[in-house]
Amino acid sequence: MDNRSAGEMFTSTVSIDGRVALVRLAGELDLHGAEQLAAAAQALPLDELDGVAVDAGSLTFIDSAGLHAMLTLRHECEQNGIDMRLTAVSAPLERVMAMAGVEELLRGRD
Amino acid sequence: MLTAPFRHEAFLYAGHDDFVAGALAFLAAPLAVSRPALVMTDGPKLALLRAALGERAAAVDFADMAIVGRNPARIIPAWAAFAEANHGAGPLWGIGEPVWPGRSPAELDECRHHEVLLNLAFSDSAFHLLCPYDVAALEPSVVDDVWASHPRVSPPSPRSDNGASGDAAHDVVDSASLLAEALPEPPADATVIGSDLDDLHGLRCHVQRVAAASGLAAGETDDLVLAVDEVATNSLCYGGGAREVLSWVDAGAVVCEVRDGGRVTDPLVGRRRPPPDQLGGRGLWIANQLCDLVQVRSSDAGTVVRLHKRPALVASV
Repeated sequence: MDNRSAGEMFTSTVSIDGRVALVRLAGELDLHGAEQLAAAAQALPLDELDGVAVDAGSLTFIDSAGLHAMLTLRHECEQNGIDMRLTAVSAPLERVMAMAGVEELLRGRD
Repeated sequence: MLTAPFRHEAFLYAGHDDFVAGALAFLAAPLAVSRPALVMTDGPKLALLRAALGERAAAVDFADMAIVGRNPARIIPAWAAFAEANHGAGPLWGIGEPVWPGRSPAELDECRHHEVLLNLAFSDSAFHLLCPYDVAALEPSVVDDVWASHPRVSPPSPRSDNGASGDAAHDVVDSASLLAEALPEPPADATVIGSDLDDLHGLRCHVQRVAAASGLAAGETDDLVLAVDEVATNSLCYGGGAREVLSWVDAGAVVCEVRDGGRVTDPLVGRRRPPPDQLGGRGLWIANQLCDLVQVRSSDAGTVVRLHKRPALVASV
């Protein structure tokens, strides 16, 4: 079913640097990508981390299902008493965050 | 007698002078008690009203309804934001003119729904809303509809059949009936652009091709692609039965329609801004921010969501 180019396929790449998880999101984060991100988030050892840094600078598309997955990850971090920080934001993410009114929530206030 | 806190009144006027006189009379109350008032109508009438108010204009908020209300489903959130910003210190006043000459039949349908839905959205709010209708410029059938959505119409009706007299309110249409209204059938040349909605990527590519070929600018195409994706995702998550996406062009607007066997029951769906900490449930809200018109209809036969996107700049020929 899928004839997407590499730039369109959703990928989430996780690396652990000390007690911080770096999550790099790329491609199209829709309902199907959201399921992948939820699975990747599930595998994070949140109770052993100080924080999660999300690089969303390479997301070429995101909708509210994708935003839901990011908000869920943020919520799970909060439950574990750690911060989720966005280190890079692409234009499509910027647009959806603004429409949903979650910019402050996801970016943090600093 | 029990009075509902929400006072929703249509104001039938003829021409600009009549509008300004009626608006000034209505605004006298909030100005006298230093309460917030927001006026949303077209630019020329805003300018006339500001001039007539003089120094008092500083105490009133103004917004261009041609922008706020381009999609009528964005007007209730605008009033809700006004109410939220001025919460807690007594009643609020507003003037909102959602209907103007040149609105398409589909837009007029959604304006009529909007007017009925205001009664539901603000039933518990101490909010006085005046909705001006220009009887000199609008079709009589459009003006006739105001009695079905506004419990009060001023000046008092010359009609004898609506039961209203003086300041008494009359009954209006129940908002629960709106979703069951039928939409006009898609035209014969409508194209099926998706049936396997599970391939969201493929659907987005298809919408992009149709939108670009129909003259939408790049940003407008992105808007429609995201809106269709949102509605198709809702259909995948909540809608059952056979799913289908159709597309056609209607008077310069690109129209995409998502059909499924599911059921939508909230008449205000897509008209309440979800709180930031809510995890999901934003699909139709986002579609309303992106499109010029979003028509939702639902019954036992299934759900139809029709999305309209017009090019902002139409090349003159």
